[in-house]
Amino acid sequence: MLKAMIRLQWRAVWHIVAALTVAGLLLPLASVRTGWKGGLTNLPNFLTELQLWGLLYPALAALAGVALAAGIWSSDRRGHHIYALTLPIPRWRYVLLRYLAGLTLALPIVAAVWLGSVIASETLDLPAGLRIFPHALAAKFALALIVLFGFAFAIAASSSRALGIGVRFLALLVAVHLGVVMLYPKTNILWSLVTGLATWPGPFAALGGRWMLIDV
Amino acid sequence: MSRARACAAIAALLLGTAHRVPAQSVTAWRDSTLALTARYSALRDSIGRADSTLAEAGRRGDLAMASTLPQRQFAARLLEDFAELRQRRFGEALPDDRGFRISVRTFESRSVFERFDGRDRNPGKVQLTGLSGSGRDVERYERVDRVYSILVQAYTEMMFESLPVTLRKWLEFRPPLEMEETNRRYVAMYSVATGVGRAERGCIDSHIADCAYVLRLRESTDSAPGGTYPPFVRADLLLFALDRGGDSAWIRFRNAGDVLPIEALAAASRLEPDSLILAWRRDILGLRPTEGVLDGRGLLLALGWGALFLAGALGVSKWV
Repeated sequence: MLKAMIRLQWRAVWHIVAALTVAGLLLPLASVRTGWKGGLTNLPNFLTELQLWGLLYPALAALAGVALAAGIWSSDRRGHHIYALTLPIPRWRYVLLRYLAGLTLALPIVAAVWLGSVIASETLDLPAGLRIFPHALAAKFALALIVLFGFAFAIAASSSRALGIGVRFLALLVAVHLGVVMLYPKTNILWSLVTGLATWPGPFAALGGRWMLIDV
Repeated sequence: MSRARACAAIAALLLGTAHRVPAQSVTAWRDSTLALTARYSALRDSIGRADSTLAEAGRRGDLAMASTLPQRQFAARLLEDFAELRQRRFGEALPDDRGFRISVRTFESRSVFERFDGRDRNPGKVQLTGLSGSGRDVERYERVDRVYSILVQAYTEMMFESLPVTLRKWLEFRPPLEMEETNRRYVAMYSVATGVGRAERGCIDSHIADCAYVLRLRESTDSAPGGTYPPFVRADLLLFALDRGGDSAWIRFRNAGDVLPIEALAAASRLEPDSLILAWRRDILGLRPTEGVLDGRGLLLALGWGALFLAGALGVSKWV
């Protein structure tokens, strides 16, 4: 059943997977090649540029997570979930199969990031004192992808009613935030919320922290 | 009639007193004028300095903090923080024997509506004084949440200027004490770890002579040693030496006189020059991240949230 689901989803999102895999492979290579222009004489700038390139890893994970989740559920949403409801399996099992198939399709992207990182770091002649993290970087990328895919998957799988409630809640939050900012400029509800979500133990803490392929 | 009477009275007065009033000498007039000018200056100075809108917010040792009424609690907290930092970095040292005064006119962040009328929101004033406050005088205008930073900057600048020329030349800039310590040290560590000159790499590889050269403490014997560390790193060495030296370290550093910087640092830290450099090198390189980009805690957290989102997906997918 899982194999059939993977095949089904592959047909729906193969172009997204292929594009993101290529991006995952090229990202570490491009980050190292563009930053290494000055070689050893430009080490501080190299690390600074690498740090800036590092911002693209969580961005790629976010893009991959959202694109995969949306692609996986697009046919179901178009068909108002009639296909899923006619299958002789419980709903939870169907959702679980979709989830596992989605994670399987994310594997090539993670593997590409790992391979790109290994190739990029092995081609440099770094001075003593600098360390490389190709495996840890790929693992961090995988974790960020799991979290973001899970989040986007939950949204994409939700019923129209649940989605409506979510959107209304979000609109209310933004309205309250704007009102509060106008009256009390020092209070920023939205920023506090984003900070809470993106730092330990928030769900998106995996996106933060250091994304350095090479560091001191 | 009355006019004639008035003229007669004036004539009688002049005739009667003219020979009894001695003419004042030029010296007396000059002394009198000088005294009056001095008193006027003192009065004007007193009015200007002793701002009537200011009230004392707190005292600690030889420091006094005054502020406008709405800022009093804030100013009292500032004094505590400032006194603590000053004690740690400079001990009881002052930038001038006659004291100092730092005045900051403050305002708060404005809301969207208030930004259009160009007025300051809750304007106020905070004034930090050391001893009589008749020595160095600094005035600033800043947002209220930056006042502490301004006080520290101004004070450090004054302390930097009170150093002998040799030490000022070596440091180049005042130590950036207003920066949060972890951030400051992290930047310094990166500067050290990413140095690319031959001597800079040698310092990372524990060559003490190279460290002394890149810190501009000694000359190099190498014909092409490469560049030296930026002033930020030298400031870090100074602050490290002050920490090691404890009480009165700054006073020992400043009072070392026009000696070589390494001698002044050794006097401040109470360590031998080479021991100081080695200890600093070990300390700064010890700040390098010990973990990779991934740690066990982050791994568990991400997996936990992933599972929670899956559970959420199972819960919210009731399509009918």
